[in-house]
Amino acid sequence: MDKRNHNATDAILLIFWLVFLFAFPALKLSSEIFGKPNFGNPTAAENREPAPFPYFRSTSPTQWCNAIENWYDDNFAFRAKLIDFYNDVNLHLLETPVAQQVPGRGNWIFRRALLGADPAQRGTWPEMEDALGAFNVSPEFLEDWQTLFEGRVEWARAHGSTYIEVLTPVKAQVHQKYLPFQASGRHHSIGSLVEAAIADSPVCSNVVFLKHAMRDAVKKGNILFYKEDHHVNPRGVHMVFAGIDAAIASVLGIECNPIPFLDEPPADANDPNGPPACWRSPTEDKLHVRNPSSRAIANEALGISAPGGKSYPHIPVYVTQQGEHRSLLIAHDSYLRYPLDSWHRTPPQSFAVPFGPAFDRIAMIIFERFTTSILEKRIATEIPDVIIEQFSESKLLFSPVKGSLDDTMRRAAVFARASPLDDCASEGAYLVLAVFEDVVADATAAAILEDAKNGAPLFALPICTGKRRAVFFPAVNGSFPDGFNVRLDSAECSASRIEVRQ
Amino acid sequence: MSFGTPFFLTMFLPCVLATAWALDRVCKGKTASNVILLFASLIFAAWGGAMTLVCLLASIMVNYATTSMMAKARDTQAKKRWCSATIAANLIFLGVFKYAGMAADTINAIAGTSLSVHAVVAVGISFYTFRAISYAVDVFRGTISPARNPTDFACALAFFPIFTAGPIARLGTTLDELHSREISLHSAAAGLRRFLIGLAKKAIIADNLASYADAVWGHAANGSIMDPIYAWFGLICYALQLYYDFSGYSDMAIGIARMLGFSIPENFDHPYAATSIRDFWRRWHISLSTWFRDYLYIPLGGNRNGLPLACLNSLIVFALCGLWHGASWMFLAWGLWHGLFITIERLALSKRPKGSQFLPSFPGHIYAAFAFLFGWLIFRSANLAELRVMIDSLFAIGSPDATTKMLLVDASPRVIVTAAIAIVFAFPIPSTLQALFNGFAVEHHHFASIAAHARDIAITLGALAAFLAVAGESYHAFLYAKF
Repeated sequence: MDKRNHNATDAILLIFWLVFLFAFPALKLSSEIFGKPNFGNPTAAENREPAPFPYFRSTSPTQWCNAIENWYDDNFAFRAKLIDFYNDVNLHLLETPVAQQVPGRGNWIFRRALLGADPAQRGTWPEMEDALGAFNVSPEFLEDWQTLFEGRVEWARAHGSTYIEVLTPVKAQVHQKYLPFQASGRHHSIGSLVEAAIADSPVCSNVVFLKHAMRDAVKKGNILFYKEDHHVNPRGVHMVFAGIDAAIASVLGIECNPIPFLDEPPADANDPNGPPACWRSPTEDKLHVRNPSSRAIANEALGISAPGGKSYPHIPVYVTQQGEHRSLLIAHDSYLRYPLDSWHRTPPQSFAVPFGPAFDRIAMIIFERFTTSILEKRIATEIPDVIIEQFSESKLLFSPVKGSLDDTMRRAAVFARASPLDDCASEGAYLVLAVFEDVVADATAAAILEDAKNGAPLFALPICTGKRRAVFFPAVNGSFPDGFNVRLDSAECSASRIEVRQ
Repeated sequence: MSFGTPFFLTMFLPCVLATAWALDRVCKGKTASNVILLFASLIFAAWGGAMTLVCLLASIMVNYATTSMMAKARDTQAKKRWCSATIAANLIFLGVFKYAGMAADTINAIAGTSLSVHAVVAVGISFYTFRAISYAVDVFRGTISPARNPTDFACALAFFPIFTAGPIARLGTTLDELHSREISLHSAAAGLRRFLIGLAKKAIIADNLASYADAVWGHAANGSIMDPIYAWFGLICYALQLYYDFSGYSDMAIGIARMLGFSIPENFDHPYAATSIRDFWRRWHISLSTWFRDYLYIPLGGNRNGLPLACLNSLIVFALCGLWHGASWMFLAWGLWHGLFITIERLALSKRPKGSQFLPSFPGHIYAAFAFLFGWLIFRSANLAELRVMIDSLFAIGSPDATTKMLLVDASPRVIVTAAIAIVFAFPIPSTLQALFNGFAVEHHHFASIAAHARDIAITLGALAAFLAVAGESYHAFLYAKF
């Protein structure tokens, strides 16, 4: 190659790269000063706020250096588009995980944690790992879950309600044929282990694993999850609601008649007063529920579930609809909200769920875990007929969170396992449940269990104001049937009763 | 600030290059350009934190002062004293800022005390301290002239392309080039090509392989035994990652320096093609190994005092070389591991004619690969427990933990393809092909022209892909920056 050509090649290379590299700060500067071009918001996939522009006065010079670099690296021109393009290329062309997203067969995407990585980068939901049976748990771990379920069911029964736990499967459990590789048959997911552990428990009918029904539906050719998202799709979420209906019918014997799912939008789809029905929204891949009697109403009591006053999408919804005079309280995650086309409507007057006419009041509280104290607050003014807690099976990986399995629930579980007494008088160790109606209590109020014979206090447990309060006392020696007495200290109630088991 | 960040690539570097080139055209002499380079280097250092800048400035002042005094001293004894003082000052610097924490931890472990050392990060201290020591020794030996003014000295010592992770260019050479360098279209383009190749090595190859290697060592840190195939692939990925990361950085440093008219020595020559550990160290981190040879091994006596002392000297050199890489007993063990193989080779070769190979070519490759791969195993493991888990995994001792099956996902097509490409380019096969190509090109001139354009297009596409990766991936720091 002669020297002139050589120089031309060198010059082209240098000019191209200088222009290319200078274009980024130049366009960013133009965007900052003139507002054009508008690069929009950084990609939502990052799940974090981009670094703010640092002002020199508010920091030391060396910290400012790093801060300006962080700001630039988070906000340079075309960053969001470059990241999106890079992720698309990786996921769909190179079939390579991007952070927690793993490409499966047929362009399906699954969700994983980064268990081997730096703890700071690990994801919180190892769904794929769990579905593939990657975890082992101790018998104590399983015992804790069983105790929690039994405690919850007994606690709710003592308060005149019914508790149902609905465990929804993750995508990797239902659509296994789209996983990038198959699990060996030796291992089980945590959900399967928990399910086996509670199989002989009297509360097993109150704990519903929807994966079986969903797997059966998939075997019939149904697609129940979004291909590129970890949520259930319109058909899948309808199945979950139908599963909840079926569980209620099974446990309570209530006929729920869930709103039917139509494969195609009906001819009168635009008529909001048409017959109740659900279908896949033609404009967006979400479930549209038509229930003319349904409307969302403000409810102050639900406000406690909106952490930090956050709105979208942490919006608890209270729905009234035509139905039997019963109330339903559901704590759930995005599983039950994201696939609904009404989920992001603010204010959510148009919110509708595919529940049939078994209930006329339904409280849907997103992102809440029922700790004992939360439950006590929830039933302070109105005791729902049914309390449902839905969460993903992959969340069973984590031991019952603090406050979910506390002393109250443990005592309730022990009470549930104890035998009811026959009419014969006897002596020994007894479990006592005291139920108080219309309690008005001070901050220091206590329910006191006394020896009926000499009035000696045996136990004192705190109690708070509420329509009905049930107190499970620890095991105590005494005699039956007239060995125990309960009373309130610094509190009043309209009535009380006790149940004793041995 | 690292070379692989959007800020460096699209703000710092273009601005420095444009300013330096403009001043080179406009101003007579290199003084203005050098002042800009010094300013840029100090800003670059300041990015590493206040202590990095303070340490650098202190090192510049102390080294300039002591070496100037040494140059002015009339008798050899005085020169020797100033040289010793300079070396001592640099070693104290290094000791305080790099090894104080390790010393405190060791004392605490042995004596049961609870000494604590406030961790201070002084980026690049290992590199510029070694450059300063070699400069003092060279001035003492009279092989180079001392710096004419403090600005030149500061500019050479703080020179930003090699500040963070080398190569450990001799300060005397950089000082000479400050005023004699020439920036031409050809050198700028050649430097740019080298820089872009380095960027691609780092962002496309090293960072891709890092994702898998990190996952493997993450499981090892958790105490999870892995399937042998995952562990072996992880070890190979780490070895390749380390090479492409560091050689990529060196390419970028050499490229930037060349764009500014400086010539920086090569740091790598296909180290994984070595047939022995001696051969490996002639190819790996060449600037460091030659530094240790010239300024430690030979002054210790080298091989002039018989075989036992030569072996001892090798062990000392490699132990210190290990410690230079980090304040950890694992690095010391890594250094001794290499020292052990060097000693074995030295003993084996002592009875053979000069110029003999330790092993024939193919077994030599296998032997060297075993030695350096297990060396990297020690190098990467944070502690003995991690090392134990890795060894158990590699040799199928114990049953694999179920959580590690996700490594199958980590070993994505991208990682596998990258590893395959990395293995090919880690060996001098492309150089052989290039020699054939060059022969063909001499006979067909038009083909050479097309090939040159094709090469630039390939480099540009590779670098654009690297830029996309830089933008798209979370940032990975250069591995050698912490040494």
